[in-house]
Amino acid sequence: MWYTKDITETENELSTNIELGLNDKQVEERRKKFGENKLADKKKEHIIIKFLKQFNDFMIIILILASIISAVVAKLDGSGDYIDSIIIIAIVVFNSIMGLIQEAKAEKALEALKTMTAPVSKVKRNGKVITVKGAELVPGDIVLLEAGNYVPADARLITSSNLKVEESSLTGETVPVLKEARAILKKGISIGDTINMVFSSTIIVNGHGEAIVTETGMNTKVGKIANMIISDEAPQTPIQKKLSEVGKTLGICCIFICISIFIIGIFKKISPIEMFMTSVGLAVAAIPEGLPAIVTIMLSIGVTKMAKKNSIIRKLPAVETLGSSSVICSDKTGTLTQNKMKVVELVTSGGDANSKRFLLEIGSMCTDSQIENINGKKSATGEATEIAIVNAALEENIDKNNLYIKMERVKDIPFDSTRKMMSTIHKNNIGFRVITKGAPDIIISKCSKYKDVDSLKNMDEIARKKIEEANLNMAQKALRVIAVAYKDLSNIPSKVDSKTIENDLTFVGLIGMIDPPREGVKEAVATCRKAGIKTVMITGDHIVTAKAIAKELGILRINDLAITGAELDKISEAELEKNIMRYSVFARVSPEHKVRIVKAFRKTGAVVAMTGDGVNDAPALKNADIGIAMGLNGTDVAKNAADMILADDNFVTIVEAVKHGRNIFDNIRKAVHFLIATNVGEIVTIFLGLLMGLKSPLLAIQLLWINLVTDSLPAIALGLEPPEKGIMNRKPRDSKKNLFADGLWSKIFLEGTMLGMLTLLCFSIGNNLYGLEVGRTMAFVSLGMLELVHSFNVKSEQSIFEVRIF
Amino acid sequence: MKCGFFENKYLLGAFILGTIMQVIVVTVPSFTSVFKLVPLNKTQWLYTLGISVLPIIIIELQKKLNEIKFGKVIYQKYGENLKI
Repeated sequence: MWYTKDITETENELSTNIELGLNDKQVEERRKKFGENKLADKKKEHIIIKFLKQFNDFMIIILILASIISAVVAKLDGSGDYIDSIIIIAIVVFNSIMGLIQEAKAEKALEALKTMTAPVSKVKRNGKVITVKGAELVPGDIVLLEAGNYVPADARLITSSNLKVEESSLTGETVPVLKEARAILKKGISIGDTINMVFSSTIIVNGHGEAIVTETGMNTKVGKIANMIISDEAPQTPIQKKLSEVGKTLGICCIFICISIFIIGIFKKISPIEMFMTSVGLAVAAIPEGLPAIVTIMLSIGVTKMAKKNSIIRKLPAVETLGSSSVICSDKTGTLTQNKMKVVELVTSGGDANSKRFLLEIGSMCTDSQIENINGKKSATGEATEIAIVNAALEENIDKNNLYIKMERVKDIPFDSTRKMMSTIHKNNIGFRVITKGAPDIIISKCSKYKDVDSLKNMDEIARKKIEEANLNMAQKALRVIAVAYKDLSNIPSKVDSKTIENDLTFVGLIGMIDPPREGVKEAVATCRKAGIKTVMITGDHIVTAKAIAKELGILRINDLAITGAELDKISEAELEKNIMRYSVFARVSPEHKVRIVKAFRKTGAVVAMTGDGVNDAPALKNADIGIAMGLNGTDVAKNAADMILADDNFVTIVEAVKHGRNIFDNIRKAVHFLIATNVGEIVTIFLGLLMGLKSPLLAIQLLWINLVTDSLPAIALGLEPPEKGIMNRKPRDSKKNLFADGLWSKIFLEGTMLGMLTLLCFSIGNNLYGLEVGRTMAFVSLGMLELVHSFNVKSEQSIFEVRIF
Repeated sequence: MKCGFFENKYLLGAFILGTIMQVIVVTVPSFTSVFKLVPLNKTQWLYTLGISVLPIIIIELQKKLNEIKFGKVIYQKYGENLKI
C-alpha cells in the first residue's frame, strides 16, 4: 500500500532518486520487467472473422447468388462453362480482400494520428527534466504534474501545491479532490480518500506537484477496471451511411428488375436459361462493386493529406462537417496572435525610474517561467506573458533567480481563469512579502494603497481613476495589460488562499505588452468572409484590446458589435439567440460563456467551429459542430474532447482545413456520381436491349471487367481532383442536404440513359451488320470508352474547355 | 484556349491506362477467349470510337446551354445566403 508509506520509504522501495530521477539503464530494465504504460488494446478481431464480415454486404450477397445461378445454368445447358461463375466469385473474394486492406489502412492511419496526439509527461531522468510519451513511463519515474493534464500512471505524491484532481473516471465523484503529499494514511481506505496519491486517467484541474510512479499499464487502478475506455470508437460518417443505404436500394431495385425481366421473358418466349443469364448480368451491372472501397480510400487519403498540413482529424465525420462550417469562433491569444509577448510600456503609480525598476523586480518574481542559456542559446519555458516580463527584467539586469535567493519563494496561489490573478509569497529578513499580478480591473479592486515615489498612499477615487485611464490608454493601443501589487506581512495566516491573502494590497504599476497577430491571419479572415464564413474572436482579455486587434484583422467591421462576459450575463437566452449574428468579438469570457455562445450560434442554424485549449473548454468543444483543440498549447482533456487538432495552433490552418473539407466532399460526390451513372447506363443497355427483343448486348463477365477495372481507375482519379477554382468563393454547404442534393439523382439518370443508349446503338450496328459476337465486342469496347470519356464530364460542373478572352 | 483535360494528371492517367487495357482485352487472344470477344476490323473500330466521343459533345452542349440560361453563375449551388 503506497499510501501508508512516507515519501522516503517509497523512494527507497522503488529504488529511485527524487532529485535525479531514474537513469537510462534503470528505465530499460524496468521497461523489460513491467512493459509499456498502456492499457491492453481492445481485443482485435480474428482476421478470418473480419474477412467473412465483408460478405455481409447486401450487394455481395446478390453477386454470390448470381454466381450460383450462373453455375447452375452452366450445368443445365451442358456447356460446363463455369468460367463466369468462377470469375464472379474470384472478384467477390478480391473485393473483400481489398475491403479488408482498406479498412486496415484506415485504422492504421487513425491510430498513427492518435499516437501523434498522445499525452506526454514531464519526467526527471538522468538529472534533467525531459518530455516523454505517457506510454514510456516506468515505476520509479519522477513525474511533474500540471493542471490540464491527465495523470499518466498511478503515483505517490512527493510535493503538492494546491493540487486538485478530478477523479470521476474512477470514483464517479465530479468534485475535485485536494491532494496532500505529506499525508500518511491508514490501510483500507477508498480511492477518493487516497489524498497522497494520484491515479492514471484522472484529470488535474488545479495546481501542480511532483510524484513517484508506483504502477503502470494494466497494474494501475484503471487497468484493473478492464472496461475503461479512453480511446474513441470510429463512427461511420454520414456519407458512408448514405452510401450503405444507396447500396441496399440498388440491390432491391436490381431484384425488381430481374423479376420484370422474367415477366417480360415469359411474354417474349425467351428461354429460362437465357433469362437467368441476363439477370446475372444485370445483377453485376447494377451493383457498383468498387464504391464503398473507393469512398473509404478517399476519406483516408484526405485525412492523411490534412494531417500533413497540420490539421489532425480525430473523428472522421468532421471532414464532412468542415465543408459546411459557417461560423468559426477562434481564441485570440496563440491562435489569431503569435503569443510571443514583448513588454513595450511600463506605467507606475510612483512615476520615476526607481518605481519602474521595482515594478520589474516584483513582476518577475511573481512568475513561473524560466529563461535559461543552454549552449549559448536562450531557451524559455512557461507562459508567454510571464516570459515577456522576465525578459524585460533581464534587459535591466534584473535576474529573478538572484532575487529568489534574497527573498525565498515559499508559497504560491496559482493562476486560474475565474479569479484572473496569481500570487507568490516570499520570505525576507523582516517577515513575508506577497506579490500579486493579474488583470488590472481585478487587481485594482483588491488594492487599498498605492506606491508613490517614496511612500505608500491610500487608494482614493482620483488615484483609481488615473490607473483606469492609463489601463484604457494602453488597451486602446492593443496592448495586453497586467497589473502588479504587493504587501508586506509579518506572518502568513495558517490557511493560504485567495480570500486570506489577496486583499489589502499596494498597487505598484501596469505592464503593457504586445502580442503581434500571426502572419496570414488578416488574409485568412478575408478568405472566410468571401467563403460565407463569419469569424468571431473569443478572448479572456480586455475588451478594448480585443476590439483594437479585431479591427486590425478585419474581424470587427463597422456595424459589428463587441461584448464582454459580464454584459453577456445580463442578456437572456432568447435575446442572445436573436442577436448573436451581430457580434464579432467576445471579451473577458469564461469557459461557461463559450458554451452559451456556441449554443446561441447553433440555434440560428449555423454550423459552428470553436477553438479551445483548457480543461474547462471541453464542454464548448463538445457542443460545437467542430471542436478544435490546440496541438501545441492544448491540454490533453481539450484534445480528447475535440474533433480536430491544430498541430501548429494557427488560425490560418483552420481555414485551410475548411478548404480541404469542401474539396473532399466535392470529390466523393464526383466519384459516386460517376460510378452510379455508369451502372445505370449498363442497366439501361441490357434492359432496353431485352425489350427490343435482342439477345443480351453484354455478358456478365464483360460487365464485371468494366465495373471493376475500367471504372475504378477514373473513380479514384476523380477522388484526387484538386480543389475547384473558387471553392472558397461559395457559401458553405447546407448541412441538411446530403451527398445527392441539388439534382444529382436526375443527372445520374439522364447521363446513365445517354450512356446506355449509345452503347445499345453501337451494339445494334455491330449485331445487324456483323453478327452477335462482333456486336457484343463493339458494345464492350464502346461501353468502356464511353465511360472513360464521361469521367471528364463529371470532373467539373463547368465546361472542360475554358475560353480566355484576354 | 485553356484545356481542363490536363488539370488532373491522375484522371488523364486513368484514361490512358483504361484505354490500353480495353484494347488489350479485345486483341490479345488469351483475354479474348475468356471474355468471349472477337477482334475488330478498321470499320468496326471507327464506329465504336466515333460513338464513344459523343458524351463529351453532348454534355458540353448541355453545360453551355445552362450557362446561357443561368449566366456564368457557377458557385451559387449548395448554400443559402447567410447574413455575415
